[in-house]
Amino acid sequence: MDLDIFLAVIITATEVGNTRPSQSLLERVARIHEVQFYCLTSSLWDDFSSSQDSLVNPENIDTMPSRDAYLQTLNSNAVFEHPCVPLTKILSSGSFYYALEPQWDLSTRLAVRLSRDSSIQNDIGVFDERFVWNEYIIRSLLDFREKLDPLERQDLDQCQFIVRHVA
Amino acid sequence: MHLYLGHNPRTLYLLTDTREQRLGNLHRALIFRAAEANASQVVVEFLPGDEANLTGTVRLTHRNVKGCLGLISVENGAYPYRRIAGVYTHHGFRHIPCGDHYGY
Repeated sequence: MDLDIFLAVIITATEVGNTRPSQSLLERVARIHEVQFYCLTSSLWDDFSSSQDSLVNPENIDTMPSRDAYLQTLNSNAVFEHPCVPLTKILSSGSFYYALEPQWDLSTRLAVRLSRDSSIQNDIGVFDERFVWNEYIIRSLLDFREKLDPLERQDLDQCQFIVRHVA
Repeated sequence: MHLYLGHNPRTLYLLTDTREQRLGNLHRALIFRAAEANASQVVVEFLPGDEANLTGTVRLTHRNVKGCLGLISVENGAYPYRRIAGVYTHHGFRHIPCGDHYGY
């Protein structure tokens, strides 16, 4: 059985507003414009057409392979459609949003959030599953997060590596 | 944050960038690679940014990545999508039931 694993990332998004402008803590919302899926298991689905001038890590510029040399090593079989194209189209339709600040939960009404215990008010693992569209694919990463020690978990949240989005 | 691809083993690196660090965020890396023992599982590491070895990596997109929405697996390049079976870390492993079809 050939099984390919893909990581879904948000490539472009724009801020569309702040839901509580009177508050000192920002609660801004961003609209997702483009999502891409990158394969963890195969180079077959690699597409560097959007990277163009970017295959440079400034920290390792002397040791990195050139783009041309790298592309020559890739499987050039481009006749297959990327298996995540349908999902990419849906998620890049401009109908999905996420919170720019990790401490607030866009999926839950304000009254419910305010009534929560203070210990979980900023916990990104607490949300309304009915409205978080990527709950299904983010679950394994949230479980990973739960296993971190509290300080690591706080750092992970602050970096906003994990994003929950709503429609 | 930036997204890099490394090889041997094939690995994806999400790394916070200097702009985010200027805004008070931390320099951290979230690293993904497929588990060798089980094709449907992924090893994830969360490390300080300077401990991520980016030698030989290439940047996958010149744009700043906003975050990660999750992991899915696709069998034989076709539908249905499946949630990955689990995530290993150096902190331990917790099994997640697999086999549910992914239904958008």
